[in-house]
Amino acid sequence: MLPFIIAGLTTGSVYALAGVGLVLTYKTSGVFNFAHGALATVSAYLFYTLHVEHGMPWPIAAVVCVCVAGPVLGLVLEQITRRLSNVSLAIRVVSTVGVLLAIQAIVVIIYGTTETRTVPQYFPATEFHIGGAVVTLGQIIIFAVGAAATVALYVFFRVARTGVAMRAVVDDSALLDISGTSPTGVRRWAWIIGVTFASASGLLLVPFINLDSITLTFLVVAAFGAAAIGAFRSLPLTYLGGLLVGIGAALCSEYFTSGLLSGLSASLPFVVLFVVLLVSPRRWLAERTAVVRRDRAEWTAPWQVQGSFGLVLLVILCLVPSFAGIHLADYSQFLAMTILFLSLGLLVRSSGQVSLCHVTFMAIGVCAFAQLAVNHHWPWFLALLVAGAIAMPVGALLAIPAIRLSGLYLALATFGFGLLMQYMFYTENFMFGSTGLGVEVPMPNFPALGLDGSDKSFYYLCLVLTILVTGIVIMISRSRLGRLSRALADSPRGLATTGTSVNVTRVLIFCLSAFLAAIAGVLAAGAIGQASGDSYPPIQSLVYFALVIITLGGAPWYALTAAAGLMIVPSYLTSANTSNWLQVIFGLTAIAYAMTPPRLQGMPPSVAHRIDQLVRRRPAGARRPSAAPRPAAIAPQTTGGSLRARDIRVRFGGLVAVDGASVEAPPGRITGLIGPNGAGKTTMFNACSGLITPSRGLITINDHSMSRLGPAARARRGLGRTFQQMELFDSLSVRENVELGAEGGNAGLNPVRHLTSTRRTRHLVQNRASDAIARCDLTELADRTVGSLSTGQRRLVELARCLAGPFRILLLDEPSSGLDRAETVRFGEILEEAVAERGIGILLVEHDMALVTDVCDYVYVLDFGKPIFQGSPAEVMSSPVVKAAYLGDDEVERAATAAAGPNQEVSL
Amino acid sequence: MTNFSDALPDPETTGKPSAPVEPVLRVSNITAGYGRSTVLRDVSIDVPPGSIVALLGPNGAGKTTLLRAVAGLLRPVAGAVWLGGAEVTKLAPHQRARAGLCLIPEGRGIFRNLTVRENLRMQVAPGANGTAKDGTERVLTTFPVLRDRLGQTAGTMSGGQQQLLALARCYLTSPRVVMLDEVSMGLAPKVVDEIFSAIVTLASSGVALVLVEQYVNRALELASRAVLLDRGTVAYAGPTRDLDEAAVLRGYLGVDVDGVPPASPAVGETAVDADQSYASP
Repeated sequence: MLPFIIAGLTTGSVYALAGVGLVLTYKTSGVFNFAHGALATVSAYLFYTLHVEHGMPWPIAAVVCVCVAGPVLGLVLEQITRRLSNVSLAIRVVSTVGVLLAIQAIVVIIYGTTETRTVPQYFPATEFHIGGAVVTLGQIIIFAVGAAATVALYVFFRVARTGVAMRAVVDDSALLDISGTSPTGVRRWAWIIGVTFASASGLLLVPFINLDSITLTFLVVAAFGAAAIGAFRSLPLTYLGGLLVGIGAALCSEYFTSGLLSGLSASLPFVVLFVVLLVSPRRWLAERTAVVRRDRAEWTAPWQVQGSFGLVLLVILCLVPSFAGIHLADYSQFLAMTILFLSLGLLVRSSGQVSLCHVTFMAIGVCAFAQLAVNHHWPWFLALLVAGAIAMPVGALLAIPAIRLSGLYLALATFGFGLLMQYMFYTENFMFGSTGLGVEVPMPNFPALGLDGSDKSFYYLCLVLTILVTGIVIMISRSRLGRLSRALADSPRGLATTGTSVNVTRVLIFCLSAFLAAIAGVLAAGAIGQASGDSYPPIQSLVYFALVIITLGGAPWYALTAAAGLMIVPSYLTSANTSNWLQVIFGLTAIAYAMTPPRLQGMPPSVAHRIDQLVRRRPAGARRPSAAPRPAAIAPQTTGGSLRARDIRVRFGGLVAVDGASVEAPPGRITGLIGPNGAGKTTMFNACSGLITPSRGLITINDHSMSRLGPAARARRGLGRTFQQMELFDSLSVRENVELGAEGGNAGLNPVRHLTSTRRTRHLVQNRASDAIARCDLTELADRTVGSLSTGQRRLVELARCLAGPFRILLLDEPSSGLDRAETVRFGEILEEAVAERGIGILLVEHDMALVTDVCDYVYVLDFGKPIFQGSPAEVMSSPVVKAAYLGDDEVERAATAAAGPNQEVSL
Repeated sequence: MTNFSDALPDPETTGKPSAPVEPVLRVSNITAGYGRSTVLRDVSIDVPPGSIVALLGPNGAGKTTLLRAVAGLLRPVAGAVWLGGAEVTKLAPHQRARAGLCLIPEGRGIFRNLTVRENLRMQVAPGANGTAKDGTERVLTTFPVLRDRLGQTAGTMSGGQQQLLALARCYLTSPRVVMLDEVSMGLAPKVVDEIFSAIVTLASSGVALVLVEQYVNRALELASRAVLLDRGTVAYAGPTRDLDEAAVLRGYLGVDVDGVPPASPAVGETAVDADQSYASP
């Protein structure tokens, strides 16, 4: 066992070194470097070229690789990722994925794949005997380098100014800026060090492996595994994690030499990553960077233009068999890949979830189909559908990290999953088997339907299915699920407050996407007739992801473009390196796209304007409301609910934010909650709405306890809420936002109701939305995109969303913030009307005293988390205690001491 | 209540004929906001050297936005910022800090995961280590409570101690202008006293201060000039002694002190005329 442990310590040190560099760059820049291993590849190939091909002495070559190439690449990556603080997760991921794709393809172009290259061990071959095992000097040096580098980094962070500054930039980069140190400069050093570590790890590992473009590129996943054990945060733990992964993999290769588990050794890093993501406590892995929302609806071409274009394209596609000749199979694959990109777009473009394993869903579909159709002789169409169905639970399983954690971890989990499947399961008999021949994928044979097993008939089958899937995807986007999905991408929190269980939405979309991807896999394989594991390398998933992000247009145009670039171009340009050059182009385009500021992305406005003018369509912001008859305005039938919060206490670590406050908001009345800044009002609010769990106290609605329920569940029981930083669906129209207030609770936990609703429910939703829109004076703006409205109008949209739903009590968090005097007065009037007509109850947190005195029937006052006064607005405004709290007189000290009790000191 | 302003000479009343003095900080016609909402509209402020300016206004008026725009954390849509006669509008925040502008942000401007010693080290710009040692001594003398806690992680200290650490930056860097954003927020009154005495010490060394305070009385006691922001525009800018407390309260609470709400603005009525309704009769 000892030799394996020693070997494990060696590779583990390399993993640890790579992991430490990765965590450093992630923590300081907020960007997870998927290309970390690709940079190690560059270093390894550079060393090979200098030392093996050109005979340079190995110390000099090593210095060039680590001390020149490393920092240069670090600077390049810093430039690429500098402007990514305000972009969505998908774009942040695609930036480094683009680097990975470009590097990997360039390496293949330069060095080819046929020749097996190795780098001989360059460390002196002296051997030592430790405990009966042989240890080479090289292994000792590698272990020493890994340990020394990590220790040096640890010391650097504590002693050197730049090191301390790196920890400061992670803590609060704006504060560092105003203290006189440039955060950009600090991050630049972090990237240089992190990438240098990656280069060093590539260099150290290369004598032990065959030099190829893929192996080292996926060294990054071993680094991920180490980083996961370090919770993506702690460097010492990451180092330890790397060693553990290395030793674990070595021991697995000793003990598991056959069967399923023989692949465990190679795939242990991914297993570790996956397990850690599934079981770690949520707060360990909280992502630091905030969710960025889309604030503009994408321009879509007018339906006349899309329709006519589609018609022309359809005619061309129908005529393809007549001119395609030997390329016909590629055209069938082109259609299958269109289905794949539609499925990936459903996930990434519509709902904003990043998945990096779609090629694996294809593989699963193909293998399932082959088992059913060939081994068990099922009918072709039935096998197709069931193969798709088999992929769905896999999709559900992968969605679990997304539910528990945030988007980046879903991306990592899916990436690791794809590699896990390749190393452990592709060679199993229930998948592709270990002979290398793969599986047979027959074409359907139904002469009655015209399917005679010829390429031509299969092509037409693919065309029909593609049109069908396009129709399904378009229908989904116009259905309730499409609305929920876009809302999910814009603001998951806002969606939860309408009563929708956001987790159900996520899992449902993931399963649908997996289903369609599996079917696409079967069709693509059917065009050729067979498939092997080599056809589904995990790196293809990254190519698909990059393509789906960079292609323009809505469904199905982006899918057609992507599929054409992937399938048709290499079909006609048949040089050996076509697909590699295409990959370079995709990678570089992805990088360029990520670096473009958001306002420059998408169709240029001048072009869009010209196309709109073709059909005389007004610009999106100013479209006249549709001429269709407006649905009748019918208010929801709700009785008021009463909210009671008793004796609430909330602690954050050592700080007591709310201490023994009790609030009651009865139906039919507006209750106010006021207090100076820092008094604990919003904390109290968050406790009532379920975003925080109080350490003590009881919250009830209509005397039903809400203690264990989350925000969506409380919404379903009648609690509506607005936010100080508004949680609106900015890329949807006003009407769609308000309708979601009515729809969300109806969708709730039920997957079927997520997909669709009855006509009657839809009418009901539309009626309620119209009523709410009319109440809030938004009728003129109903078809405008919410992102284009002013603050005052947006506040009204959020209120209308609450009024449209079946909520019995509303929590409004500083709703007049950003409104001018007239808007505030009107807001108060709307509240009073709603309460008078429907009897709902409202709890209002406010700073604007004019609004409070205007509309509130009863007011609670907090200061320093404690209740200091309650009464009618007139009583509150004339109370000396309240005045003192706001003006900061000695009254405050007296009131606070009185509340604290005679023997308690007011501590510093 | 200690009357802090007694400790300071009032520049307005020294009786010397006033030669036109270049303001150490000038903000001219700043329009700024976040995303689509405009928070500040055409705001202009002058801070004379060595003076204390109280920046007042209810929540949402734009006080923090203004300080962030001056510090460079927020890029204004229009307008300029001048520091000591030189325009700094295009400079990054760290460059403005090195030019002598110090912002103490709201909410305890410290690095929570670093120790006190490391915080003090980070508060000085790189390369300024020559003056750092004397500055550190000065800080530890002014705030002795920090001396015993040099190795303690900053986030584990109490709120008051954290705020003192945040203020240490003013002593370490010898700035020309210090902007303090609600430094007394969430602190018990005894601690607020200590912080305000530190502020007075700072002011007596000739540094100009811009003070955003929710506790209006404290700020007005200390300041010689007041600027009142109302929904993003300057409603009053002038000497503190001309400011009527009742009117300030009205601006904050929207009600008269005796509980009678003001009349709603009639349609077409323009914004409050600066200098008039907030000046005492």
